Amino acid sequence: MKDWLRAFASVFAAFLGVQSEENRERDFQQGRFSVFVVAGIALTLGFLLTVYVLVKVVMSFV
Amino acid sequence: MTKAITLALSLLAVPAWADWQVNMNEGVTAISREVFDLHMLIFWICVAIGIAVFGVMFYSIFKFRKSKGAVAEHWHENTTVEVLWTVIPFVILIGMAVPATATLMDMYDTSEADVDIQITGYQWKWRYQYLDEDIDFFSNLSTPREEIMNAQAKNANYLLEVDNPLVIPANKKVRFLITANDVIHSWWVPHFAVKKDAIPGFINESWVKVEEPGVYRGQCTELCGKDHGFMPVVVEVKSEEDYAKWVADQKAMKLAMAGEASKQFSMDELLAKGEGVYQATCAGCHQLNGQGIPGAFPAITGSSIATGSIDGHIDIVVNGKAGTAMQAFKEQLSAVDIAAVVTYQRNALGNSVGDMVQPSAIQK
Repeated sequence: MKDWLRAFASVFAAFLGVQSEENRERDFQQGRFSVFVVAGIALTLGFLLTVYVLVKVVMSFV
Repeated sequence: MTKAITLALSLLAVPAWADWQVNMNEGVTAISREVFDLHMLIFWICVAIGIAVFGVMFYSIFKFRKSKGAVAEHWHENTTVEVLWTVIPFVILIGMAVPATATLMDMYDTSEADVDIQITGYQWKWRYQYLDEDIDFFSNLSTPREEIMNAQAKNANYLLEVDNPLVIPANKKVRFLITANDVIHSWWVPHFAVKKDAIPGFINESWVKVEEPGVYRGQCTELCGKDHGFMPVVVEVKSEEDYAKWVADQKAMKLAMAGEASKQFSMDELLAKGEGVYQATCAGCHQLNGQGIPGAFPAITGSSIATGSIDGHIDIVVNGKAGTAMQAFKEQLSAVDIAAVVTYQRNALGNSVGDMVQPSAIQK
């Protein structure tokens, strides 16, 4: 579970473009590749959904 | 020193500022004022960011200078600061996008227009077709060639004046359907905050609702060939009553023109009329003296077409010539204009064929 949370946090940090060296080393030593792929896809879908909902909300005010 | 101060103060004088207006126009429509306010809002946001960033930078450079014994600190990363300088611009950008999107959506809302006008870009003129009325005309540059050639002083509206301006009613929503006949043009009137590309095969939409009657000028703003700088846009906004009167006049004029086409003209009448048509329509390429531009535009003087069979001459004016810059003028010129300009080209500009053609003989 901790693995997953860390993976999501790291992928989110990647979205923002900021990550500490400490976390990076930890991810590369302990992390599993598949977990990062799943977290990446999930967050991408989440981002798309956020943009979609945001546009819908804005349009509903027009 | 005193001299320098006087000079500096004179630069601040009001008229000097008026001449040096570099900001965009506020315009004359609700949308253009919204656009102007957005522009100013974002300008001031940029100024604030600039002052903050450069302020911190110059302060740091000054305060922590080497001569005061400052020693550089060596650290590699600071996640908090990095997150901050990523999130703050993100928030600022979203903040700017909110009002900008609202304005943009207004600009794109072309629904429920009172008047629909199709605007077509041609090399190098605009055509205006009123879709609900039977009105259709071309708008050509009317600045005299003499002014362009520096033979005469230039007037205040130099290259911003046309023979037939676009006429629209005040306080009505006017929708523009913008397209082009040959290459990409762009229809731009700064005071309306309307700038739309005119693309062959596509129809772009825009709209305007002007409160105050007046004359507003703009230009083609997409490089479209040799006379790109010679196809201005002039829009005359009239009060509702004046607009209704103008529409009626246009219709009456159209009837009168249809009557004129069956009239018989004398050689002198055709020559006089033809000279005007030639200068407005042909001289851009074939030149005022009919010499053309060797290698680009053929001469009219001594040309095999203008001195050959009159039917061939009429044909090329009416239908143009594929693969060359010679357009088909059947849409742009009336039968009277075509008869006049053909007669003029055959009997002026150094040609003296001696024949003439009547408008009734022009098959369009």
